[in-house]
Amino acid sequence: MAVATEKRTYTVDEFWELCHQTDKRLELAGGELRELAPANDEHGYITMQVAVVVSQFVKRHRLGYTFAAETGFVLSEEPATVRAPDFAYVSRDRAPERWSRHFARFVPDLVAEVISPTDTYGDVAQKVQDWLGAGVRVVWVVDPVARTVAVHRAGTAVRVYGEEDTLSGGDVLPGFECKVSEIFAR
Amino acid sequence: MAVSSQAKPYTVDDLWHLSHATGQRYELVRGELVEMAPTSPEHGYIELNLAATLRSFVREHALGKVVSGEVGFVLDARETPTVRAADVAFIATQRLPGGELPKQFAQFAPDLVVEVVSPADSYSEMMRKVQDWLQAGVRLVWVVDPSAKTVAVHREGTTVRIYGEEDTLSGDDVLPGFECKVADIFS
Repeated sequence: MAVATEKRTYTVDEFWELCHQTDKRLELAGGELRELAPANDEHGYITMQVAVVVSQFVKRHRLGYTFAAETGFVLSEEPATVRAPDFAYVSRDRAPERWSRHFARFVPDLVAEVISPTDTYGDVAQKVQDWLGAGVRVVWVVDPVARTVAVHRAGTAVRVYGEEDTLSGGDVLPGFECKVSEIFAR
Repeated sequence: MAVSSQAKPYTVDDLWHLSHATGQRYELVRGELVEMAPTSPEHGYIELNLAATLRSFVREHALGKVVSGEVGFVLDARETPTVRAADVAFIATQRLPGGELPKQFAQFAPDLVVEVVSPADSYSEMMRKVQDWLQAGVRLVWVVDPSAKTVAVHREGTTVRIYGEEDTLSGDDVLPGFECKVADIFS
């Protein structure tokens, strides 16, 4: 969940400094601060389910690297946008040679966002747009209530997969398959 | 806004009769009835704003018909009966059987559909709707968000794109020459 806070705008560097002076979890969208509330238990659980199943596949096939929630990615410098997806995967081709110990300035191949109860249609639509606009190849929007995964792949229209469907990695994670029901199973 | 009701599989005919017997409005989504709550004045205002702009363009160029107000389109009559309701739709003359507007649910897909987001609409629900429209043959879907004052443009074979208040919406090849400032939709 994101709550708009004060109105002044920040650059990526100012935001980096701010993040180190506060314990708050923040995002920067179009230069403006957004505060992220801690996730509910179901949200955290489902995020982990996605992270585990994708990470296992990525490690096994030595495809690249996966990132836990809270990792900040710089999507644009002007206006400054730094978003923290629930989960991200970057292929070895796109990954930097060494970690910067700063916000990531590379673009993930895949991003997963798990919808929170307070997320509006517009919150989610804007996130999806920001990721795709930055060059992310596929965005998964996981909905714990509807038990669906909406897949936005660059260059194609949205597809929504339900519990009876199987999610595939397409050309981003070739050979990856996961039943949607598995993500929500406990 | 949609309120899910019972899970019994309904047919397109059931929906037609039920809607007329009860006066309630429903969509039929894969055999399941989904009740539709009345919308807010803001929703209705924006819907009419865009419908009026579209209608004047479509009339001027004699391209077809613009309809508004949760018009039912049968997207699947058999396997998984689905009737979706459009806030606003444009139907090109070629798609109208005999050039006439049907007096029952339309048995074809329109060319353009506009969906105005209600506060209670979930993202996934809206994306399901967009997918249903596109797979049924709708060429262009505009999802209008009154809160963010944006319009998301969905087409088969392209990445979704969001237009903000400073942008201009175009009719592409569906309504060639049509242009509308996003800000005007909300003004």
